[in-house]
Amino acid sequence: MKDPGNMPNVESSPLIRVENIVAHYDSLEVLHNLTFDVTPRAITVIMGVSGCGKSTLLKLLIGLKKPTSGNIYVDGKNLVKMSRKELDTFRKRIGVLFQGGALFNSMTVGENIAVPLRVHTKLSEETIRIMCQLKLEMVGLAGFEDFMPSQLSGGMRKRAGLARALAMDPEILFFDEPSSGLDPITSAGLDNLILKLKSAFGMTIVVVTHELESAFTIADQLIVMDKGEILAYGTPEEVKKSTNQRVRQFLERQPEEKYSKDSQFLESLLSKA
Amino acid sequence: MKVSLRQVNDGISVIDLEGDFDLYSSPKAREVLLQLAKDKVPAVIVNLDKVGYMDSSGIATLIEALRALDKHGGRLILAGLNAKTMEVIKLARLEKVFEIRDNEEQAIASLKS
Repeated sequence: MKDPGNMPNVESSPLIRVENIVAHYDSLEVLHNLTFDVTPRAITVIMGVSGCGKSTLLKLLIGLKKPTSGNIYVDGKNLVKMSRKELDTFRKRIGVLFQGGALFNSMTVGENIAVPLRVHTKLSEETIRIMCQLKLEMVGLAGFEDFMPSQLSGGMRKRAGLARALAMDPEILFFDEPSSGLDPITSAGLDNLILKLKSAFGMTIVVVTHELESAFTIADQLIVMDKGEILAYGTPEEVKKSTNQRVRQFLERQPEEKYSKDSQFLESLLSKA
Repeated sequence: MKVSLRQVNDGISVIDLEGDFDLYSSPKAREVLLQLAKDKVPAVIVNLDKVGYMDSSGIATLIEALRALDKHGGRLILAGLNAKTMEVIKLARLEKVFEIRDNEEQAIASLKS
Protein backbone atom coordinates (compact mmCIF):
# COMPACT_ATOMS: atom_id res chain seq x y z
CA MET A 1 0.00 0.00 0.00
CA LYS A 2 1.36 3.36 -0.93
CA ASP A 3 1.23 6.39 1.23
CA PRO A 4 -1.52 8.89 0.42
CA GLY A 5 -0.23 11.28 -2.19
CA ASN A 6 2.07 8.78 -3.85
CA MET A 7 1.18 7.42 -7.27
CA PRO A 8 -0.05 3.85 -7.70
CA ASN A 9 2.00 1.51 -9.82
CA VAL A 10 0.50 2.20 -13.24
CA GLU A 11 2.40 2.10 -16.48
CA SER A 12 0.62 4.63 -18.69
CA SER A 13 0.88 8.36 -18.15
CA PRO A 14 -2.17 9.90 -16.45
CA LEU A 15 -5.09 11.36 -18.35
CA ILE A 16 -5.92 13.52 -15.35
CA ARG A 17 -3.38 14.63 -12.76
CA VAL A 18 -4.67 16.24 -9.58
CA GLU A 19 -1.97 18.20 -7.77
CA ASN A 20 -2.16 19.64 -4.26
CA ILE A 21 -5.84 20.52 -4.48
CA VAL A 22 -7.37 22.55 -1.66
CA ALA A 23 -11.06 23.53 -1.75
CA HIS A 24 -13.30 25.57 0.52
CA TYR A 25 -16.98 26.22 1.06
CA ASP A 26 -16.85 29.76 2.42
CA SER A 27 -14.24 29.63 5.16
CA LEU A 28 -14.50 25.88 5.69
CA GLU A 29 -11.70 23.88 4.09
CA VAL A 30 -13.26 20.69 2.71
CA LEU A 31 -10.42 19.23 0.64
CA HIS A 32 -6.91 19.26 2.05
CA ASN A 33 -4.03 19.09 -0.39
CA LEU A 34 -5.11 16.14 -2.54
CA THR A 35 -2.79 14.64 -5.13
CA PHE A 36 -3.55 11.67 -7.38
CA ASP A 37 -3.68 10.50 -11.01
CA VAL A 38 -6.50 9.15 -13.15
CA THR A 39 -5.15 6.50 -15.52
CA PRO A 40 -6.49 6.46 -19.10
CA ARG A 41 -8.80 3.62 -20.14
CA ALA A 42 -9.12 2.50 -16.52
CA ILE A 43 -11.75 2.80 -13.78
CA THR A 44 -10.85 5.00 -10.85
CA VAL A 45 -13.20 4.75 -7.89
CA ILE A 46 -13.27 7.46 -5.25
CA MET A 47 -14.95 6.23 -2.10
CA GLY A 48 -15.59 7.28 1.44
CA VAL A 49 -18.35 7.97 3.92
CA SER A 50 -20.95 10.67 3.29
CA GLY A 51 -19.49 14.12 3.73
CA CYS A 52 -15.89 13.04 3.12
CA GLY A 53 -15.52 15.46 0.21
CA LYS A 54 -15.81 13.04 -2.70
CA SER A 55 -18.71 14.83 -4.40
CA THR A 56 -16.87 18.15 -4.07
CA LEU A 57 -13.86 16.49 -5.67
CA LEU A 58 -16.07 15.32 -8.55
CA LYS A 59 -17.29 18.90 -9.09
CA LEU A 60 -13.67 20.01 -9.36
CA LEU A 61 -12.82 17.24 -11.83
CA ILE A 62 -15.64 18.22 -14.20
CA GLY A 63 -14.89 21.93 -13.93
CA LEU A 64 -18.06 22.88 -12.03
CA LYS A 65 -16.11 24.27 -9.08
CA LYS A 66 -12.71 25.93 -8.84
CA PRO A 67 -10.27 24.86 -6.16
CA THR A 68 -8.85 27.42 -3.75
CA SER A 69 -5.39 26.29 -4.78
CA GLY A 70 -3.73 23.48 -6.69
CA ASN A 71 -3.98 22.25 -10.27
CA ILE A 72 -5.91 19.66 -12.28
CA TYR A 73 -4.20 18.71 -15.52
CA VAL A 74 -6.17 16.99 -18.28
CA ASP A 75 -3.82 15.78 -21.01
CA GLY A 76 -1.32 18.22 -19.55
CA LYS A 77 -3.67 21.21 -19.80
CA ASN A 78 -4.66 22.90 -16.54
CA LEU A 79 -8.44 22.66 -16.06
CA VAL A 80 -8.28 25.27 -13.28
CA LYS A 81 -6.96 27.91 -15.68
CA MET A 82 -9.02 27.04 -18.74
CA SER A 83 -10.96 29.77 -20.53
CA ARG A 84 -14.70 29.33 -20.99
CA LYS A 85 -14.12 28.16 -24.57
CA GLU A 86 -11.52 25.62 -23.46
CA LEU A 87 -13.87 24.40 -20.75
CA ASP A 88 -16.61 23.92 -23.38
CA THR A 89 -14.21 21.83 -25.47
CA PHE A 90 -13.26 19.79 -22.39
CA ARG A 91 -16.92 19.19 -21.55
CA LYS A 92 -17.56 17.73 -25.01
CA ARG A 93 -15.06 15.02 -24.12
CA ILE A 94 -16.81 14.05 -20.90
CA GLY A 95 -20.10 12.52 -19.81
CA VAL A 96 -21.48 12.85 -16.30
CA LEU A 97 -24.13 10.76 -14.60
CA PHE A 98 -25.46 12.81 -11.70
CA GLN A 99 -27.16 11.16 -8.73
CA GLY A 100 -30.75 11.81 -9.80
CA GLY A 101 -30.14 11.41 -13.52
CA ALA A 102 -30.57 15.19 -14.09
CA LEU A 103 -32.93 14.82 -17.04
CA PHE A 104 -34.87 17.71 -18.59
CA ASN A 105 -38.40 17.05 -17.35
CA SER A 106 -40.09 18.85 -20.25
CA MET A 107 -38.51 16.54 -22.85
CA THR A 108 -39.00 12.87 -23.65
CA VAL A 109 -36.24 10.43 -22.77
CA GLY A 110 -35.22 10.24 -26.44
CA GLU A 111 -35.04 14.03 -26.75
CA ASN A 112 -32.94 14.19 -23.58
CA ILE A 113 -30.38 11.87 -25.15
CA ALA A 114 -30.49 13.64 -28.51
CA VAL A 115 -29.84 17.14 -27.10
CA PRO A 116 -26.02 16.96 -26.92
CA LEU A 117 -25.84 15.26 -30.31
CA ARG A 118 -28.00 17.93 -31.95
CA VAL A 119 -26.05 20.75 -30.31
CA HIS A 120 -22.50 19.49 -30.77
CA THR A 121 -22.46 17.37 -33.94
CA LYS A 122 -23.53 17.48 -37.56
CA LEU A 123 -25.05 14.00 -37.49
CA SER A 124 -28.28 13.42 -39.40
CA GLU A 125 -31.54 13.12 -37.46
CA GLU A 126 -31.80 9.47 -38.51
CA THR A 127 -28.30 8.69 -37.18
CA ILE A 128 -29.16 10.50 -33.93
CA ARG A 129 -32.42 8.59 -33.62
CA ILE A 130 -30.64 5.23 -34.03
CA MET A 131 -27.90 6.30 -31.59
CA CYS A 132 -30.57 7.14 -28.98
CA GLN A 133 -32.09 3.69 -29.46
CA LEU A 134 -28.66 2.07 -29.07
CA LYS A 135 -27.93 3.93 -25.83
CA LEU A 136 -31.31 3.02 -24.40
CA GLU A 137 -30.72 -0.61 -25.33
CA MET A 138 -27.32 -0.51 -23.59
CA VAL A 139 -28.85 0.72 -20.34
CA GLY A 140 -31.82 -1.66 -20.51
CA LEU A 141 -34.43 0.93 -21.48
CA ALA A 142 -35.15 -0.07 -25.08
CA GLY A 143 -38.51 1.25 -26.21
CA PHE A 144 -38.71 4.06 -23.63
CA GLU A 145 -37.62 6.90 -25.94
CA ASP A 146 -41.10 8.49 -26.03
CA PHE A 147 -41.61 8.38 -22.26
CA MET A 148 -41.42 11.51 -20.13
CA PRO A 149 -38.99 11.39 -17.17
CA SER A 150 -41.95 11.72 -14.78
CA GLN A 151 -43.26 8.38 -16.08
CA LEU A 152 -40.09 6.54 -15.04
CA SER A 153 -39.08 5.10 -11.67
CA GLY A 154 -36.01 6.51 -9.88
CA GLY A 155 -33.81 3.68 -11.11
CA MET A 156 -35.06 4.07 -14.68
CA ARG A 157 -34.44 7.82 -14.56
CA LYS A 158 -30.89 7.09 -13.48
CA ARG A 159 -30.40 4.69 -16.37
CA ALA A 160 -31.90 7.23 -18.78
CA GLY A 161 -29.44 9.76 -17.34
CA LEU A 162 -26.64 7.33 -18.11
CA ALA A 163 -27.91 6.95 -21.68
CA ARG A 164 -27.70 10.73 -22.01
CA ALA A 165 -24.23 10.82 -20.44
CA LEU A 166 -23.19 8.26 -23.06
CA ALA A 167 -24.79 10.17 -25.95
CA MET A 168 -21.56 11.67 -27.26
CA ASP A 169 -19.49 8.51 -26.66
CA PRO A 170 -17.40 10.44 -24.16
CA GLU A 171 -13.72 9.82 -23.65
CA ILE A 172 -14.10 10.30 -19.90
CA LEU A 173 -17.21 9.25 -18.00
CA PHE A 174 -17.94 10.43 -14.47
CA PHE A 175 -20.47 8.76 -12.17
CA ASP A 176 -21.79 10.30 -8.96
CA GLU A 177 -23.09 7.50 -6.74
CA PRO A 178 -24.32 5.32 -9.61
CA SER A 179 -25.76 2.60 -7.37
CA SER A 180 -27.71 4.79 -4.98
CA GLY A 181 -31.43 4.11 -5.16
CA LEU A 182 -31.00 1.04 -7.36
CA ASP A 183 -32.02 -2.50 -6.47
CA PRO A 184 -29.14 -5.04 -6.21
CA ILE A 185 -29.86 -6.62 -9.60
CA THR A 186 -29.96 -3.30 -11.46
CA SER A 187 -26.89 -2.18 -9.54
CA ALA A 188 -24.94 -5.29 -10.56
CA GLY A 189 -26.09 -4.76 -14.16
CA LEU A 190 -24.77 -1.21 -14.02
CA ASP A 191 -21.38 -2.42 -12.73
CA ASN A 192 -21.27 -4.84 -15.63
CA LEU A 193 -22.11 -2.09 -18.10
CA ILE A 194 -19.38 0.17 -16.67
CA LEU A 195 -16.83 -2.61 -17.19
CA LYS A 196 -18.03 -3.18 -20.76
CA LEU A 197 -17.85 0.53 -21.59
CA LYS A 198 -14.23 0.58 -20.48
CA SER A 199 -13.42 -2.51 -22.47
CA ALA A 200 -15.33 -1.78 -25.71
CA PHE A 201 -14.90 1.98 -26.03
CA GLY A 202 -11.67 2.35 -24.05
CA MET A 203 -13.37 4.92 -21.83
CA THR A 204 -11.66 6.44 -18.83
CA ILE A 205 -14.15 6.17 -15.98
CA VAL A 206 -14.26 7.93 -12.62
CA VAL A 207 -16.83 6.70 -10.11
CA VAL A 208 -17.69 8.35 -6.81
CA THR A 209 -19.40 5.91 -4.48
CA HIS A 210 -19.68 4.58 -0.98
CA GLU A 211 -20.80 1.13 -2.18
CA LEU A 212 -17.95 -1.22 -1.25
CA GLU A 213 -19.03 -4.21 -3.31
CA SER A 214 -19.48 -2.16 -6.45
CA ALA A 215 -16.16 -0.36 -5.89
CA PHE A 216 -14.15 -3.55 -5.57
CA THR A 217 -15.96 -5.12 -8.54
CA ILE A 218 -15.16 -2.38 -11.03
CA ALA A 219 -12.08 -0.49 -9.81
CA ASP A 220 -8.64 -0.60 -11.38
CA GLN A 221 -7.54 1.97 -8.84
CA LEU A 222 -9.18 3.06 -5.61
CA ILE A 223 -9.01 6.22 -3.59
CA VAL A 224 -10.38 6.14 -0.05
CA MET A 225 -11.22 9.57 1.35
CA ASP A 226 -12.14 10.80 4.79
CA LYS A 227 -12.63 14.33 6.06
CA GLY A 228 -11.23 15.85 2.89
CA GLU A 229 -8.07 13.76 2.83
CA ILE A 230 -6.88 10.73 0.91
CA LEU A 231 -6.31 7.87 3.34
CA ALA A 232 -5.51 5.15 0.83
CA TYR A 233 -4.70 5.14 -2.86
CA GLY A 234 -3.79 2.16 -5.01
CA THR A 235 -5.11 -0.97 -6.66
CA PRO A 236 -8.02 -2.75 -4.92
CA GLU A 237 -5.57 -5.36 -3.60
CA GLU A 238 -3.29 -2.67 -2.22
CA VAL A 239 -6.17 -0.84 -0.56
CA LYS A 240 -7.47 -4.08 0.98
CA LYS A 241 -4.12 -4.45 2.74
CA SER A 242 -4.18 -0.94 4.19
CA THR A 243 -3.42 -0.81 7.89
CA ASN A 244 -4.91 2.66 8.31
CA GLN A 245 -7.47 2.35 11.11
CA ARG A 246 -10.07 4.55 9.44
CA VAL A 247 -9.70 2.66 6.13
CA ARG A 248 -10.15 -0.64 7.97
CA GLN A 249 -13.25 0.74 9.68
CA PHE A 250 -14.70 1.72 6.31
CA LEU A 251 -13.81 -1.55 4.58
CA GLU A 252 -15.08 -3.65 7.49
CA ARG A 253 -18.24 -1.56 7.83
CA GLN A 254 -17.61 -0.79 11.48
CA PRO A 255 -20.06 1.75 12.94
CA GLU A 256 -18.82 5.12 14.17
CA GLU A 257 -17.92 5.21 17.83
CA LYS A 258 -20.23 7.29 19.95
CA TYR A 259 -19.64 10.94 19.24
CA SER A 260 -18.43 11.72 22.74
CA LYS A 261 -18.78 10.64 26.30
CA ASP A 262 -21.89 11.85 28.12
CA SER A 263 -19.87 14.19 30.28
CA GLN A 264 -18.23 15.74 27.18
CA PHE A 265 -21.61 16.12 25.49
CA LEU A 266 -23.11 17.88 28.53
CA GLU A 267 -20.04 20.07 28.76
CA SER A 268 -20.37 21.06 25.09
CA LEU A 269 -24.04 21.92 25.62
CA LEU A 270 -23.28 24.01 28.68
CA SER A 271 -20.46 25.85 26.96
CA LYS A 272 -22.84 26.94 24.17
CA ALA A 273 -25.58 27.93 26.57
CA MET B 1 -11.24 8.94 -41.46
CA LYS B 2 -10.44 8.00 -45.04
CA VAL B 3 -13.36 6.56 -47.02
CA SER B 4 -12.66 4.94 -50.39
CA LEU B 5 -14.94 3.01 -52.69
CA ARG B 6 -14.05 0.33 -55.21
CA GLN B 7 -15.90 -2.25 -57.24
CA VAL B 8 -15.02 -5.90 -57.29
CA ASN B 9 -16.41 -8.47 -59.68
CA ASP B 10 -20.12 -9.30 -59.90
CA GLY B 11 -21.31 -5.86 -58.86
CA ILE B 12 -19.97 -6.02 -55.33
CA SER B 13 -18.99 -2.64 -53.88
CA VAL B 14 -16.30 -2.47 -51.21
CA ILE B 15 -15.93 0.52 -48.92
CA ASP B 16 -12.56 0.74 -47.24
CA LEU B 17 -12.57 2.77 -44.05
CA GLU B 18 -9.33 3.92 -42.48
CA GLY B 19 -9.00 5.71 -39.13
CA ASP B 20 -11.56 6.39 -36.39
CA PHE B 21 -15.22 5.77 -37.27
CA ASP B 22 -16.72 8.31 -34.89
CA LEU B 23 -19.05 11.29 -34.39
CA TYR B 24 -16.98 13.50 -36.62
CA SER B 25 -16.20 11.10 -39.47
CA SER B 26 -19.34 8.96 -39.70
CA PRO B 27 -21.31 11.49 -41.83
CA LYS B 28 -18.72 10.96 -44.61
CA ALA B 29 -19.18 7.17 -44.56
CA ARG B 30 -22.96 7.64 -44.33
CA GLU B 31 -23.01 9.74 -47.50
CA VAL B 32 -21.20 7.04 -49.51
CA LEU B 33 -23.26 4.17 -48.06
CA LEU B 34 -26.62 5.85 -48.63
CA GLN B 35 -25.65 6.76 -52.19
CA LEU B 36 -24.93 3.06 -52.87
CA ALA B 37 -28.35 2.17 -51.45
CA LYS B 38 -29.92 4.85 -53.64
CA ASP B 39 -28.14 3.33 -56.65
CA LYS B 40 -29.62 -0.02 -55.62
CA VAL B 41 -26.32 -1.88 -55.66
CA PRO B 42 -26.82 -5.58 -54.90
CA ALA B 43 -24.07 -5.95 -52.26
CA VAL B 44 -21.79 -3.78 -50.16
CA ILE B 45 -18.82 -4.93 -48.11
CA VAL B 46 -17.64 -2.50 -45.44
CA ASN B 47 -13.99 -3.23 -44.85
CA LEU B 48 -13.17 -2.20 -41.28
CA ASP B 49 -9.71 -3.70 -41.33
CA LYS B 50 -8.05 -0.32 -40.79
CA VAL B 51 -10.57 1.11 -38.31
CA GLY B 52 -8.99 1.26 -34.88
CA TYR B 53 -11.95 2.79 -33.07
CA MET B 54 -15.68 2.81 -33.77
CA ASP B 55 -18.24 4.58 -31.61
CA SER B 56 -22.03 4.38 -31.58
CA SER B 57 -22.38 6.89 -34.43
CA GLY B 58 -20.41 4.40 -36.53
CA ILE B 59 -22.79 1.62 -35.57
CA ALA B 60 -25.81 3.85 -36.20
CA THR B 61 -24.45 4.64 -39.67
CA LEU B 62 -24.04 0.94 -40.44
CA ILE B 63 -27.59 0.19 -39.22
CA GLU B 64 -28.97 2.98 -41.39
CA ALA B 65 -27.08 1.58 -44.41
CA LEU B 66 -28.31 -1.94 -43.66
CA ARG B 67 -31.93 -0.74 -43.60
CA ALA B 68 -31.52 1.35 -46.75
CA LEU B 69 -29.95 -1.53 -48.71
CA ASP B 70 -32.50 -3.99 -47.43
CA LYS B 71 -35.31 -1.96 -49.02
CA HIS B 72 -34.28 -3.24 -52.47
CA GLY B 73 -32.96 -6.59 -51.29
CA GLY B 74 -29.32 -5.45 -51.17
CA ARG B 75 -26.86 -7.01 -48.71
CA LEU B 76 -24.38 -5.40 -46.35
CA ILE B 77 -21.46 -7.39 -44.99
CA LEU B 78 -18.97 -6.16 -42.41
CA ALA B 79 -15.44 -7.49 -42.77
CA GLY B 80 -12.12 -7.16 -40.95
CA LEU B 81 -13.40 -6.13 -37.53
CA ASN B 82 -10.74 -6.12 -34.84
CA ALA B 83 -11.44 -7.24 -31.27
CA LYS B 84 -12.41 -3.71 -30.14
CA THR B 85 -14.84 -2.94 -32.95
CA MET B 86 -16.35 -6.41 -32.54
CA GLU B 87 -16.83 -5.70 -28.84
CA VAL B 88 -18.69 -2.49 -29.66
CA ILE B 89 -21.01 -4.43 -31.99
CA LYS B 90 -21.59 -7.00 -29.25
CA LEU B 91 -22.23 -4.33 -26.61
CA ALA B 92 -25.03 -3.05 -28.82
CA ARG B 93 -26.18 -6.68 -29.24
CA LEU B 94 -25.96 -6.42 -33.01
CA GLU B 95 -23.69 -9.34 -33.81
CA LYS B 96 -26.69 -11.26 -35.15
CA VAL B 97 -28.16 -8.29 -36.99
CA PHE B 98 -25.12 -7.76 -39.22
CA GLU B 99 -23.53 -10.30 -41.54
CA ILE B 100 -19.95 -10.37 -40.28
CA ARG B 101 -16.97 -12.07 -41.95
CA ASP B 102 -13.34 -12.22 -40.90
CA ASN B 103 -12.04 -10.52 -44.05
CA GLU B 104 -12.95 -9.25 -47.50
CA GLU B 105 -12.18 -12.56 -49.22
CA GLN B 106 -14.59 -14.43 -46.95
CA ALA B 107 -17.23 -11.72 -47.47
CA ILE B 108 -16.93 -12.04 -51.25
CA ALA B 109 -17.07 -15.84 -50.99
CA SER B 110 -20.27 -15.70 -48.94
CA LEU B 111 -21.87 -13.34 -51.46
CA LYS B 112 -21.07 -15.73 -54.29
CA SER B 113 -22.32 -18.83 -52.51
